[in-house]
Amino acid sequence: MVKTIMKLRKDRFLITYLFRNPLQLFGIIYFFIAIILALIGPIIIPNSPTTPNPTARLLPPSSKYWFGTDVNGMCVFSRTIYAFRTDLIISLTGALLAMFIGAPIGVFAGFFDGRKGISGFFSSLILRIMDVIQAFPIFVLGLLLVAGLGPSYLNIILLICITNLPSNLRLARSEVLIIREKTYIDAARTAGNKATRIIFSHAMPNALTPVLALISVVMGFGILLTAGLSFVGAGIRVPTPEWGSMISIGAPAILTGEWWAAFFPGAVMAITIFSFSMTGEAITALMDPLERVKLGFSQ
Amino acid sequence: MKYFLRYIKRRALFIIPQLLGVLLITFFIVRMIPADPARMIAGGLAPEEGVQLLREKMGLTGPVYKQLLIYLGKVIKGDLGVSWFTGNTVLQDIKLRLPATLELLILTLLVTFFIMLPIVLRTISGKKNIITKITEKLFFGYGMAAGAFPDFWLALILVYLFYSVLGWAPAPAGRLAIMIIPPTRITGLYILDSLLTLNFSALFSSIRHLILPVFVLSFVYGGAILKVAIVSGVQVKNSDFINYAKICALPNNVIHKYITKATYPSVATMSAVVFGFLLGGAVLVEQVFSWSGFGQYAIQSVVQSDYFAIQGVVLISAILMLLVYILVDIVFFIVDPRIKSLG
Repeated sequence: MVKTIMKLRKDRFLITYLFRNPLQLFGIIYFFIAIILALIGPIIIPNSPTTPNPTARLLPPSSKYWFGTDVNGMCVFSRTIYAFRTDLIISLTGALLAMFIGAPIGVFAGFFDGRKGISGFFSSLILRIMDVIQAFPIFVLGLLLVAGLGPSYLNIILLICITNLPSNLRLARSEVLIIREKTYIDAARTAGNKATRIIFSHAMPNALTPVLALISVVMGFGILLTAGLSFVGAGIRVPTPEWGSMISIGAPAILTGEWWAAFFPGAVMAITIFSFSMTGEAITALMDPLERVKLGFSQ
Repeated sequence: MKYFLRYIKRRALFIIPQLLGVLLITFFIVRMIPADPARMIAGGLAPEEGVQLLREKMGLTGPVYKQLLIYLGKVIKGDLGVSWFTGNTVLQDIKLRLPATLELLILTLLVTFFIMLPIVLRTISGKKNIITKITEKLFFGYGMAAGAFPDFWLALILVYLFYSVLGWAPAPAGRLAIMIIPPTRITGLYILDSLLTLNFSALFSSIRHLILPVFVLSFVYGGAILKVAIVSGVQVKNSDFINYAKICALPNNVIHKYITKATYPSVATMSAVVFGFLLGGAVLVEQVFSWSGFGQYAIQSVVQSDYFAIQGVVLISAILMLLVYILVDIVFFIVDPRIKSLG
């Protein structure tokens, strides 16, 4: 870990690239801010995020309530900051789970694809199962899970994991399909390595690069899914601050002109998702040797 | 042509196991819901024997695999069960609600394909005039923003701007103005029906009410399709056969047509994914505009623990999505000569 950071500090390509692409730099910085807020947010917010205060209903943004108050009198700013924790935990855990389960299985499926016998059979079976999952409309699957298992953090995490398993799996699998034809795999096999060792030491590290870049995009999508489910009432239960449910609470006020209760959570959410996809693009570019050449650095 | 039919046959064969898989999973999850549909229909005061009889009639007793067989038998005959909440058969409910959402989805896809896509594809084709420069800059910003905005939030903001503040848009209260009677139901798609029956007031009203939701949906989800189109378009532009065409001095618009055709596979795939998501996901925008669509029916049946409605919704959605994926494969087949030759 320390060695990586030391290497990063000496890596002038990293710094040059980031300054050439200020949007992605912004994305990465915001990403870290988001994580910090998720961790310490509840401690630094000015007002309580869950105590209703009927005397302070629907106050516009002011120096006391930076984002105004919502229909229950709760400070929109505090709730928005608290919601970082809710949404980020759910989407991060879901995305990581999808990657840690989906990618290795995908690598195995790709490696053994087309072989006769039981390993080839399992490879095709996994693909068919992914097809079934992908045939489900995502939202309906989410509603179904929430109905059957109850609305809770765990179930939404499960939903995000299941929804993104097929993409992670297929991505890893298609990478491995290319990798397994390469000469170094043949060399490893000639040297006597067993199949599993080849997979773990050679195929998997190279196959995982695009999967890693996918994570931040999956996280962004996970936030959208969580917010969407909470917006219709099938996600996180109401007192817990979460951007989607905050928007649904603030929605009726919009028609009468009190826009702040629904606007700010959505704006913060949009910027967060945007920064996640920027981070994903940055990671892809930074790991790509061709980008280095483009900026004039040798590999 | 022979290859085409063989290909379609192979794909169609896969549908049945996939549908069965979807039904199976739904069956199990639905039965985990802690509610008893027979008791809900019969009411709290009904005697237990009556409720038990009702359960048997609805097919809710016995081991799960038997229940599954009973349900499958009914489905093949077209009986998707009765929704205890609305009182109609599930098929009736879906026939009522599905066209509303389908209208939104079809219009969104049409706007994406015939308005957004051509404009955006012009930018990669080479003519560097002022229009393409502006479009490029716009598209750059749009590509960033499109995927990040939550669609329901954007819908709310637009309703605030165009209805509360400016008063241009109609009230977000459904598909038609309150005074207008819906056109005679032929397909359920209001624009089509009102055109077919020459009912121009209904046509005008439904278009007015469709503008904002379709705009929101195509803004947010069209972005993903456009991004994919641009990526594959740029890839094709640098490929050998386009270079060969340029060397042969083929006119620019012919080359542009080649590039456009080559983007069809990725566009089709992405559109299928978007369609699948929006079948249920459009409910968010539908909620804002009080649209009474398919997604709302799905939510309501989940919230009310309406077994047959939930199963019906999932079944119909899965069938639609599988059909859409077959369409995508057909597009691949038509466009990519390599697949044709492999048969």
